[in-house]
Amino acid sequence: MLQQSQAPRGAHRAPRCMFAVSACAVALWAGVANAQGQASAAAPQEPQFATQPPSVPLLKNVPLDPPLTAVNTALDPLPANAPRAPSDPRNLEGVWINGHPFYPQISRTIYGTPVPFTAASAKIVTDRVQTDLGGRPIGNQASGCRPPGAFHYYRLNFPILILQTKNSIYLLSEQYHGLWEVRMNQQHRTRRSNSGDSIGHWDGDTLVIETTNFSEPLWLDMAGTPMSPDARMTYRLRKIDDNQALEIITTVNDPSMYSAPWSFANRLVWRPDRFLGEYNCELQLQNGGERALGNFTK
Amino acid sequence: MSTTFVRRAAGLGSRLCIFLLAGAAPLTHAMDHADLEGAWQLKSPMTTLTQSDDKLPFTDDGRKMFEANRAAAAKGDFGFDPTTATCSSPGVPRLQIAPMLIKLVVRPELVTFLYEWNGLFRLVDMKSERRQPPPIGTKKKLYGNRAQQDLLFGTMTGKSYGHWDRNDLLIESDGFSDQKLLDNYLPNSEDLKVLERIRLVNRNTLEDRITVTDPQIFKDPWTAVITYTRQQDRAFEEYVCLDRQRAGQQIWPH
Repeated sequence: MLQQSQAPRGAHRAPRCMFAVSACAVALWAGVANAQGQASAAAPQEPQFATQPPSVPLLKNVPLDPPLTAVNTALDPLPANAPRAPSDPRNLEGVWINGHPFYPQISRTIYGTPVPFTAASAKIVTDRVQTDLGGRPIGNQASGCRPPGAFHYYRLNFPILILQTKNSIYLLSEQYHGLWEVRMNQQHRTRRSNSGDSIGHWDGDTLVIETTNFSEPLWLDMAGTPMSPDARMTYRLRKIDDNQALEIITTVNDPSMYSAPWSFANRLVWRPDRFLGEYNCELQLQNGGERALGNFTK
Repeated sequence: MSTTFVRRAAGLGSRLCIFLLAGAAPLTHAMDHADLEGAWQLKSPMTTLTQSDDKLPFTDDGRKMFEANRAAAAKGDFGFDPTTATCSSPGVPRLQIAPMLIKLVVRPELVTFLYEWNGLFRLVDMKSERRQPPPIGTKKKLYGNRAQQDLLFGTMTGKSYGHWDRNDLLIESDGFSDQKLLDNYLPNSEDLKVLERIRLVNRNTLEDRITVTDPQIFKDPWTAVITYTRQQDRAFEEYVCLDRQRAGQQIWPH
């Protein structure tokens, strides 16, 4: 853990450690590295507000984003004889799953500050949450068996499998048979798609993924926290906890929706005893789901 | 909470088979066999596993289903084909004749097929002991250790276990749904078993020799051979089947 004196240059205060110590550490580390000109511009920075951003309602009976050190009780304990994750910090291969309690709505940034909604994006999420609170189901891209955005792959209690090849890193998710291909050390392609275009590079032992050129507006969470097709998403993945956990810091840069870039953090745990099952979304959708979908608020 | 997203996740979670790899090691890269890894594509497009499906050793019931499928297709009615009708996963072995790129990622513990077609994937367990499949419908705990894992119901890709026979990759698969096809017309039952022998014919040619056993549909096992040509590695293009269907585009070759 870095010391407070190493806080990012230009940041008025360090991230509040309501998240994992490690999450704070990476934010601080990234800021230090940035000050030294070593890190990408995507390193998370505390949003600065001229005025307090508008607040939005919360979904009913759902937990707020928990400390990342909290244990996901939905998981069986890892068998005592389970092999440990590789010690190579750049070998992320294997199966990982959400290690902290699942939370459906992102209610604050990694710094503990409010999400920097604009008035327009606050209205969008407010309408969606109030619709849900009113008893009408709401649904995102995944409700229609379309790619929902990579952030859903690691935020839910579904396992992901990471594979690393010469040219690409693949993150496979059981959720919506998600296949996230990250082209390493490449330039962005201009063609837009549901999942956007993802390129990656190593920044020290942190895998930095940048995704842009989306074709559809997506939801960042189940409450409908919005993301526009012009958003630039940055993911910083690194092993923590003696390589047995994977930290993902997601930074949202979307000026049409947010007054400043902001970040949230997730912590996945190494689960070599898990295997990805089949998620045949489309057949289920057609076997009744499509009719229900007609009632959804998109 | 009432979000459909959660409902879908919870609903699927209660029905999905989560396979467990007790004692699996971290993925490693050591290779002591032929290098199958890379990007592959069918040497020539295929819609059926054999050139003469109608000469396969059908049972009476199997032939009736096959003929009914072909007759419906001739009328443009593809209700019998969940892939064409709903974008459902083609499953095994039909995925092996998927148009577009297929990538193989080979690790000692796990072989992964990545399909450009609808972003699907298929995992082959290379480490766990091959076990007799339980009867489909067997109720087991969904989240548990390997010993507790078994099928609640058949799936499109079933369960696949692999091992090396010198330079050949052998894959045994079962645990299939009967709500799928073997190719554009051939039906299968829940008793389907698929044995694949995958080998390099040469550096740039891959062969998948598929033996189908399904006593409800076929009197005897039979074998089909699929040939692929190695492709230069490139990133997948996104292929969202439902979007293509909505746009009135062809989603699977016929």
